[in-house]
Amino acid sequence: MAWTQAELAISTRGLRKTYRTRKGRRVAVEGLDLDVPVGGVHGFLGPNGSGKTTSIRMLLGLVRADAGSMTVFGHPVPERLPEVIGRVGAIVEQPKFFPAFSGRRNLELLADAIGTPRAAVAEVLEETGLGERGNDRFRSYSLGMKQRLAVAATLLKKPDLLIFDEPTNGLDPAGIREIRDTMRGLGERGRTVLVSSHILAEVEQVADSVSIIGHGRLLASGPVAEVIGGQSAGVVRVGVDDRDLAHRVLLEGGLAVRPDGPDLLVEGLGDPAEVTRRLAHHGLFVNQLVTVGADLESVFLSLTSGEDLRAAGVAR
Amino acid sequence: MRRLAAVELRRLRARRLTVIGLLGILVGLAFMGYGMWDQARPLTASQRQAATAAYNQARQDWLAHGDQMRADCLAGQADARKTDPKADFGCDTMEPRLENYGKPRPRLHDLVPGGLEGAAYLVAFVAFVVGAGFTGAEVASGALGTWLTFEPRRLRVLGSKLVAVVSGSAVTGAVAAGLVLTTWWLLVQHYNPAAHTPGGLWSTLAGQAGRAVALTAAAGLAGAALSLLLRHTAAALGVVIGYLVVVEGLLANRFSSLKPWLLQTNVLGWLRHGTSYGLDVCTVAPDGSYGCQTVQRAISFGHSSLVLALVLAAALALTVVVFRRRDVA
Repeated sequence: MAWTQAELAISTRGLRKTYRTRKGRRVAVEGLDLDVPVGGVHGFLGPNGSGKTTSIRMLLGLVRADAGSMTVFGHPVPERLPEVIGRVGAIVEQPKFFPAFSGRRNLELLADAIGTPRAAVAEVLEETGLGERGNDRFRSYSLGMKQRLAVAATLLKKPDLLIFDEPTNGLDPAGIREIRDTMRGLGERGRTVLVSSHILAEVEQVADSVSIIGHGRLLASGPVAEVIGGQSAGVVRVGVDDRDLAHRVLLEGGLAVRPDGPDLLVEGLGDPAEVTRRLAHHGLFVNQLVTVGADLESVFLSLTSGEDLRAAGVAR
Repeated sequence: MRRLAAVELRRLRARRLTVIGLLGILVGLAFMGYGMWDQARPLTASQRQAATAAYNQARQDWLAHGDQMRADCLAGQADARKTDPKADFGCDTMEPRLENYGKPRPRLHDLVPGGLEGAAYLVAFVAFVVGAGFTGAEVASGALGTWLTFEPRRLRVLGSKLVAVVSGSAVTGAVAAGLVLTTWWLLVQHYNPAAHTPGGLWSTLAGQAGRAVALTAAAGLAGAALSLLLRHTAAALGVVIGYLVVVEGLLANRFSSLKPWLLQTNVLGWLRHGTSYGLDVCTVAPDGSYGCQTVQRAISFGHSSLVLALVLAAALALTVVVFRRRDVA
C-alpha cells in the first residue's frame, strides 16, 4: 500500500543493525522497510529474536542504526528526534524506573524533566489505577503494576504515538485484558499505537493493521484482514475414510496436500470441486469438504515457518 | 539544561546513598571534632602535675650537671663542625623550661591545615562513592533508557547529571570545610583567646578550603563519569581500588620515579599548594660499596594542578564520547 509521509506515523527504509558478539557479527535487523499509518493500533509481529525490539530501540534513539533511514511523523530520526519525542510515549521491554523511588516520585521526576505540571502525575496515576499505590516503592510493585506505571509515564506526554514492546509479558489474564483495553481505547481516540508482540491472539484482538517480520526483514504488512486473506486463499479441509490413499491420489494429481489429524489439508486450490472429482475417480468419497478460514496465527506461522531464528544467528 | 540539572539535583538529594554518605560525613566530622577538642584542650590537673614533676626533675638535673652537659654538647658540636660547619646541637637552649613540659596552647595556623586536609579526604571519598552510585544505579536499573525516551539529547542528559553531582559535592565540601574552620576557631577562641593570628592567615585558610571544595567536586565528577563509562557502581569502585593497590601501591613502591605522577602525590600537592616526595637514589661508591638514600624532591602546585586536570579531562572526554555513541539497554 502506498502512503504519503503525512499519513505515516513511522516509516523506515533499509534499516539495518548488527551487533558484535564473541562469535562474530550478528545481524539483528536486515534492511527493514516498515510503514505504520497514523491512527489506530498497528501490530508489529515476529518470532523471538526477529528484530522487533532492536527496531523500536533504533526509532527511539537508544540504539544506533548501521544503515537505513527512519522517520517519525515525517521527522528524520534520530537527527530530529528531540523535536518529535514529546509526541511519542514508549515502553521498551520491561518497565524500567528507579527501584528505590515510589511510583509517584518516578513520574514527578519525568514530569519535571519535560516541564509537565505535577498535577498531571496524580491524573495519570488515577487513570492507570495506581492512585492508592503511588507512594509505594517501584520495587515493591507487581509486574502488572510496573506495566501500568510505564503506561502512566507515557501518558504524561499526552502522546500521539505510543509504542508498546511486548506489553503483556509476565502479566496475568486480568492484566493482559487491561493493557489490551488501554491500547484499544487509545487507538479509538485517534492515537497511533504500535504494539510489538509474538503473542498473536493478543494482537489480532486489538490491531487494525500489522507488519510481520522475520530475520529482521519485513515479510508482510497491511490491514489485518488483507494480510490474512492474502496468505490463506484456497485451503480446504478434506475428510475421507481412507486418508492415506486419498493423500497419495491427490499428491499424484499435483496438489499441495498434507495430513492434519484424521483429515487432509489441501492448499492452493482454485476450485474445491477438483478434490471430489479426483477422489471419486479412484472410488474415494469425501465425507467433509470445508474451506478453512485462516487466522493471524496461521498466517504468521506460514510466513515464518521453518525459521529457527536463533539458530540462524539473528539477535533480538 | 538548567531544568534537567535541577531535576537531577532533586534525584541526587532523594537517594538513600546520598543520605547515608552525608551521615557518614557528619559522623566522620564529629570524630574529627572530638580529636580537635582533645588536641586543643589544656592538660588535666593530673597531667599538669606529672608535667611539672618532670620539669622539676629535669631542672634539678640541670642545676646539678648543667655546666657539664653544656660543655659536652659544645664539644660534640665542635667535632661535628669539622665536617659540617653548620652543625648546631642547640647547646644554648638546653636549659629546661616549664613551657616545654606539657602541651602548647592551640593556634589556628598550627591546627587548621591538617584538619582541613583530613576533612577533604573524607568528603572527597564520599563524593566519589555517591557520584558513582548516582549514575551507576541509573544505568544498572535501566532507568536511563526510560529517561532517554523523555529527553533524547544525550549531551544534555550527561551534562545535567554531571552538573548535579558537581554542585552537590561542592556544596557538601564547602559545608564540611566551613564546619572544620568554625570548630577550630571556636576551640582556639575558647582555650587560647590571646593567640596571635599571623597576617594573611585567613586568606591562606580560605585558599586551602577552596582547594578542598574543588577536590570534592572533582571526586564526585570522576565517580559519576567512571560509573557511566563502566555501567556499574561496583565496577567504578573496583577499578579505582585496583588502581590504588596496583599502581599507587605496588608499582610506586617498586619504581619511585613514578611518584611525581601519582594521584596521591598530586592530590597532596593540590591541597598543600605544593609538596615533596622521597626519591630513592642508589649509587656505587668509589670503594665499590653500594648504598641508597632517600632524597626529597619538590612538587609544585602548578604540576599537581596540571596532572589532576589532565586526568579529569581525559576521563570526562572519554565519558562524553562513549555516552554519545553507546547503545542503551
